[in-house]
Amino acid sequence: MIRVLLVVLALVVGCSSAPAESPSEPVVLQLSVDEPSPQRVEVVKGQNVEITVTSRAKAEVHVHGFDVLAVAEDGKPAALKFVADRTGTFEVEAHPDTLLAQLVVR
Amino acid sequence: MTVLAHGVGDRHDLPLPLDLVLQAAAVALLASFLGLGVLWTKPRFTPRADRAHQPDRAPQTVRAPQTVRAPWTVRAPWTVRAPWTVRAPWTVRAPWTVRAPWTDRTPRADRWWPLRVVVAVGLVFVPAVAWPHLVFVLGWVGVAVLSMALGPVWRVVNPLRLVLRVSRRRAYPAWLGYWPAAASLLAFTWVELVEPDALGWFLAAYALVGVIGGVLYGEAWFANADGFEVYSTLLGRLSPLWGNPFRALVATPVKPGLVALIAVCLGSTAFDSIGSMPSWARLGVVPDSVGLVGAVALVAAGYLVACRAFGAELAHSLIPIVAGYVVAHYYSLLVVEGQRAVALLVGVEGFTPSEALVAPAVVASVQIGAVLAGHLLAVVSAHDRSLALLPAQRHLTGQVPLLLLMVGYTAGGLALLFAG
Repeated sequence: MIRVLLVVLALVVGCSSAPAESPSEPVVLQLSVDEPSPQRVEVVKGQNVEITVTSRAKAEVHVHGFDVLAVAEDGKPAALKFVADRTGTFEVEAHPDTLLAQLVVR
Repeated sequence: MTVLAHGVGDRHDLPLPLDLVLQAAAVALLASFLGLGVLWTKPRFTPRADRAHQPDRAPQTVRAPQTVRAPWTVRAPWTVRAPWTVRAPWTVRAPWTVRAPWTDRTPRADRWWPLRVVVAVGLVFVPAVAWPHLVFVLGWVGVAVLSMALGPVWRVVNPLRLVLRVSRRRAYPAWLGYWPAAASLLAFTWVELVEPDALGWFLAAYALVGVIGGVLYGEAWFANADGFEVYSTLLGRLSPLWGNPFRALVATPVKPGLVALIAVCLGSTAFDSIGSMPSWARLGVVPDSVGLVGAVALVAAGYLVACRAFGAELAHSLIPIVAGYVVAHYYSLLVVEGQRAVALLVGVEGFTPSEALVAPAVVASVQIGAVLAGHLLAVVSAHDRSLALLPAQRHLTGQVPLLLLMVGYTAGGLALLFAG
């Protein structure tokens, strides 16, 4: 009985301490400046992120903390690609002041 | 122009894990009510000046047997004079201070003027790009943390105090109390969180008001009405260098506006977390200015309802909660952007700060530790003061509303660290 419990304990510890590996497939986000609906998006550190932003008016889109910048225009969405290599919470923002999403990189 | 939270910085902390938040809240709740049961039953932390007049020194108040201190409460090292608080050479006999630096009467506080001249001249040479970092990171957060460790730092370096040399020193109106300080801190946090571009205007107005007030009212103006100095002095009461911090806390002068002042400190930091939540942005309709004032009003209303029987007599016990939340909220900003601030001050742009000290586990530990430590200090401080204010038969029940309020503040702060 004690052996069984020990095995179970070892299994539980083993499961909970398994390190999170960064998935090979990227995080893909479709965002809109005209109808912003900001959400939190979980990203694993080291994962690729691909963001497409559409806007009817010309808008500058920026991901804080990763210094990627692109311009969206009517019919020509902005495409941002980068590797999330820092941990923290970062804002995807259309300037001047429209929050589009928050990336939570762990 | 990029609009950033805090006016500086491009990253926020990770949300705290929910299980950690719930555990910390449970610890705060348990410790609070445990403290009610096991802490001492007679007030111990009286301001030094009042000790001679304590009624329990009179022979007729013999302790009833049930109030004799239980053995585990008597020797608590932070209650009675610890040797390092009394005998330490820098506390009592330091040649440059005669009294604890937050007392209003320091006739020779002016002796720091050469340092203030250096600060004032140094400010002239600060590069324009470094000002937001200097004010929002080193000034607002750095001075606050330094004050918790060392005492009222801003009082020593405040360059506006140079006008004391030409002051008229009229009597400061007592009814004004801390209200001007609360108003100026609210204005500053509005600039910080809502309109960072207005920083230049704010600083110009702050300096102008400070000079006029200092010329008219002298020393008392800076001790009561200068937001940064009052903030630094409040947090400086937690410094262990000047004797027992609990005694310094209870010696906080109760003046008009004290509750408002503390509500501004706590509410504005809380709103910083609320305002950076995606759900706040989705809400959209409420302007940030209203949110900021609302958060401050909520904190103040909580205190006024829970402590209506005491007035502002217990407000000082919230200072540790303010301090704990400031550390939790701004730790990573101070570590990361503090490095950038120094680089900008010496004229280096494009510097990449090291993030070694803001690994997720480190930040989470600092946040939980700071919030809990602040909460525990606040509970002990409030407990002791309540004993002195409440009649003996209400010693236990009378403390419950404030305890619940503190648990509410702490749980709210933890929830914001989880959600914001």
